[in-house]
Amino acid sequence: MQLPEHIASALQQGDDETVAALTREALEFGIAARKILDEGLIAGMNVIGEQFRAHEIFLPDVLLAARAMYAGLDPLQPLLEREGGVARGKVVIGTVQGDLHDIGKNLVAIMLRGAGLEVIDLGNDVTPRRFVDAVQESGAALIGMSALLTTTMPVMKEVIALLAREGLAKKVKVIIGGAPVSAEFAREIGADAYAYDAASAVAHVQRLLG
Amino acid sequence: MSTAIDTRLVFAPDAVRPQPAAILARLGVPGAPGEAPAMSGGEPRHGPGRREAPAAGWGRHARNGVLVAEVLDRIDDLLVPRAVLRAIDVERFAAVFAGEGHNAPEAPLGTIFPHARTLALYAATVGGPVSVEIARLFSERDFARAAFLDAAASEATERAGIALADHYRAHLQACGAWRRGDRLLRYSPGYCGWHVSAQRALFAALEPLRIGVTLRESCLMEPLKSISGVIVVGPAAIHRFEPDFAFCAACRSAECRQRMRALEDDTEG
Repeated sequence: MQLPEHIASALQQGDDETVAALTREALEFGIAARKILDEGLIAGMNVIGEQFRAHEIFLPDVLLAARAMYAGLDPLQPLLEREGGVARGKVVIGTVQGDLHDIGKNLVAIMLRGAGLEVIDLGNDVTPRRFVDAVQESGAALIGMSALLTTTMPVMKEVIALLAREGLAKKVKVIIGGAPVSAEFAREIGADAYAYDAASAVAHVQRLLG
Repeated sequence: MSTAIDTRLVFAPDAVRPQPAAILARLGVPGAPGEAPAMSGGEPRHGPGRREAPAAGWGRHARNGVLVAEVLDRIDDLLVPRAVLRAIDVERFAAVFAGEGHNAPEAPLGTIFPHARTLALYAATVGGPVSVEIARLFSERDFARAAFLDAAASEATERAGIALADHYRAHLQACGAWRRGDRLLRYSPGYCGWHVSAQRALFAALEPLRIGVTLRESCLMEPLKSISGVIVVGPAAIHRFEPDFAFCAACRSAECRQRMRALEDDTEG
């Protein structure tokens, strides 16, 4: 088994210390940062994502694997930036204005990063203006929004309307999620996708970004 | 003795301490620590990283057990459980229930509360510090501990609601107002067709600021780990409904079915 495969295996066990150590070892061996990322960290998180979707593992396992992923990313990040490493896509996510719930949104962010995407997490209580500004500043191709109150769901429609007014409707995809949100609501407001949970969110985002 | 009640309650943290199994259930983990890992459907798949050997399964369960134990070890220092309870008559509650006029027409509570023997508005919280700690753990990438603590805090909040309901039942029994066959259930805005915007009317009638709970314009309660609603007391029959409303399709909890099964339990006396 080569070092990146060992990294992937340790990541799946949620062993952040081993992932960090093996990542540094792989770099010392001269393995390219991009190769370590793709064949170690992302490969490991892909298996985690599949197992999670198949209900073979559960949320705690995913979160421990994510911590291990970040432990491996730390030594790679400066090298990836120097190499001009291109993420597999860039997304802006946040919990909409009026809402402070963020556990689900945080999980989506973690899993999207695990899939190799660059995630700009705006946090919670995010206004439509902030969502759209973040997309314009970053060049992100997708907005992900979370809402856990029916009273805050209308903000999602406002974001989509603002994207249209700014001429971004065709350039920026929108995915929404949260307990009171539904596929029907997504269709009603013109969102591109509805995610029932974090695992399906990753699948939808990957599909929308092509 | 009057059934009227308007009280502020302070609970000791260990009175709302969550059970390990309940914490794991909130995280979607089947079984409890120490139990054999449940096999997912089908044979274990083969290939690197895919085979779920029993040892790995046991390892994961043991790890969950450690995380639960860690959370329970420190949660008492993070919880500030408080509650308020205020009796309300059917006529005044009708206005609270109506809220801002956004309820689903068939919301079951609309046909339940007129038949109640007694009603009381309530709010309960475990306070803000635990949410601050959850945010800190997330920011330090300690995602698993953050999620475990979040689940534990949510469960503790629910247990505060249960403790509050027990207090109300004891009050009614002391008043001689509790009848054999009575059942006590809590209902909250945001569920079963009772629109979350009714929180505004509920907060105006209950004044939960007495325990530090406020309402944002979006009807989000702060601290985040807070609950509110109405306690309805009456014969079991008034609480029963068939959960086949339009809004049931979007419901993820289906807790109503469990609650109605529990109505058959006659141990409440």
